[in-house]
Amino acid sequence: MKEYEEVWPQRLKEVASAFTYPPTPDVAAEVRRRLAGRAVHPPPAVMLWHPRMRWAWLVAAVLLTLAGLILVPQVRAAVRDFLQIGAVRIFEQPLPEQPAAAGTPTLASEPAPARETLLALAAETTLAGAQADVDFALLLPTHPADLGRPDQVFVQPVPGGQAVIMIWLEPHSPGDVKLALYQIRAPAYAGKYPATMHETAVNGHRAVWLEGGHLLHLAGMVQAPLVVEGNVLVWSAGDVTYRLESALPPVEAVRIAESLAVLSEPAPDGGFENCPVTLTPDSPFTPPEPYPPDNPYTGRFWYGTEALWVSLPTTGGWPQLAYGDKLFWWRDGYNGSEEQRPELAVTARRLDAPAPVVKRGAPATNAYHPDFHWAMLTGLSALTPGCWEITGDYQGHQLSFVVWVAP
Amino acid sequence: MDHSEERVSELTHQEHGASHHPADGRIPDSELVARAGRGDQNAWEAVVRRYQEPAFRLAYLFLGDAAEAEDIIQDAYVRAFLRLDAYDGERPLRPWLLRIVANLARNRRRALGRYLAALRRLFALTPRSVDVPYGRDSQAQWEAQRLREAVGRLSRAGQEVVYCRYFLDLSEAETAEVLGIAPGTVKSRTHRALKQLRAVIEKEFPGLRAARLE
Repeated sequence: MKEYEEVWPQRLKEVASAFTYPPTPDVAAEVRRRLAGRAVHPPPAVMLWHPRMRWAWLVAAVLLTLAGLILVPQVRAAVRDFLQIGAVRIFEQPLPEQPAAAGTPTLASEPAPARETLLALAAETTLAGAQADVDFALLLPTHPADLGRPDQVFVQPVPGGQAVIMIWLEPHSPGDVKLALYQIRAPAYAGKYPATMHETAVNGHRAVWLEGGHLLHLAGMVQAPLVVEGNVLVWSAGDVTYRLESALPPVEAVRIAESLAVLSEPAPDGGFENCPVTLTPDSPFTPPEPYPPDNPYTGRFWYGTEALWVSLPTTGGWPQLAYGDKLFWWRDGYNGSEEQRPELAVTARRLDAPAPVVKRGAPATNAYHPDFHWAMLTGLSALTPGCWEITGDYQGHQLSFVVWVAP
Repeated sequence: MDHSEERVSELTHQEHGASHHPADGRIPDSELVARAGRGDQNAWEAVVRRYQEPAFRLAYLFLGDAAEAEDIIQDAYVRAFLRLDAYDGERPLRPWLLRIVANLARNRRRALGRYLAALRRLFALTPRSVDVPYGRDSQAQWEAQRLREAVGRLSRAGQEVVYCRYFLDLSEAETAEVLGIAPGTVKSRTHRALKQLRAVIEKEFPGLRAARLE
């Protein structure tokens, strides 16, 4: 007994001390770079090759592998006695004890997935970006009232569909996840072997409450380890499956689930009247030569200063920005043949309701037309219907205007 | 001492003269944090380098993947810098940093990375005990590798406490802070985990008998 209590732990420590770790990487330079560049939103081409994407690429390789495995007859035969909630299968039988079948492919032996698929892989994005990427309406909890918008949003292609994962972090504890909400539209996603499972309902839809640690089963794998530690509520509505992971009790989780509402708040009634849209001023701006003094396009007027000006709709309404439209920005002396990628950044903020800030970082591109001479060109899309303030910034020269984005 | 610490050290001496340095001559954590809080990137770089080895090892033990562990500690240092206001300067810095690392590593398991991690652990469970990635020629390293595999059979909570206490050699108090649990819970979890570990070794890791861990 004495040996167990005293000697054995000491011997354990001695053995563990010989464990050989991979060499510790020096991350100081990368940390400094990330801190210095926090305000900068790298363009998509950079994001795709960011080191943090390595794991996402591997996740995709795994998912593609799994999509193939579930087609294997002997694997499919093991998948039985489950409760299906939308895309999630919850198995009611304990896991088989046998190890994975011989010949189970490993990561190393799998052929690399197609590059075209990988380029569309899970990446951190914004709410608006996620909504633009998926073809189903994203929902957000309206309870609790102070929850706010998610701190992180990911879009993840899954076999046969898409998943959006929203993460809320604990405000006073960096790194702690308060809530994770998955919204999945796929024929089959993942199974779970819960320690404790209760059936419940969310807005009348059948739901399942999984409590405590439980095993995650990956679409056809015959054995999986303990991986999920939080409590999970799974339900579906229409063809979308929802999965809420938190440390909350079931009553509160169901309340949150039942509070989900569409991401794109409808424009409030009378919103246009309350939106301070930028209209033609009494003394409209007149650009210097060689630009046309009057806006050459019907229903448009020049707005700004010689340092930065734009062409705005005389009505104040710009519905195309909900889908995507070009924005032209002029400044005196700009020549697109000499400055092909001008350092113009554009930010759009919704004024009448909470909405993710939409940013288009520098550089922009250029455009030329005999009607309006050289202009800097950028684009905006996926603005939710409502009142938006758009600000352009060219090397410290800023210009803001307000438009109404609604059909 | 690395170059970054030397640079900060020189700056500190120029600015403050002989300050309250500990016996090993290193700038105290509290001073580095204070400087970092004022935006001194050199000071934060020194903090990063001072603790990146235990941070990396903790993340590696939790996740089993060097690339993921590297990502995690980068995230941890970025987040910690941005939340220095949440750091209590009266308390040790190392466990505070390691707690952020542990939380991020857990989140990685909980979030998207769970799928990859699950699959990796799945394959780790299949019999391939002859394939030891490190220290193939060293009996001690071989034993340590086997021990790690045995620990991998424990519950997640059991694994974490064993990694902290026996692999990283953290004290009970440090382990409590890193894992966000009470010191008494560390003690009880450790007791349970060691009991389970011994049973796992007896049943599945006969090779460890030579290490007198049977």
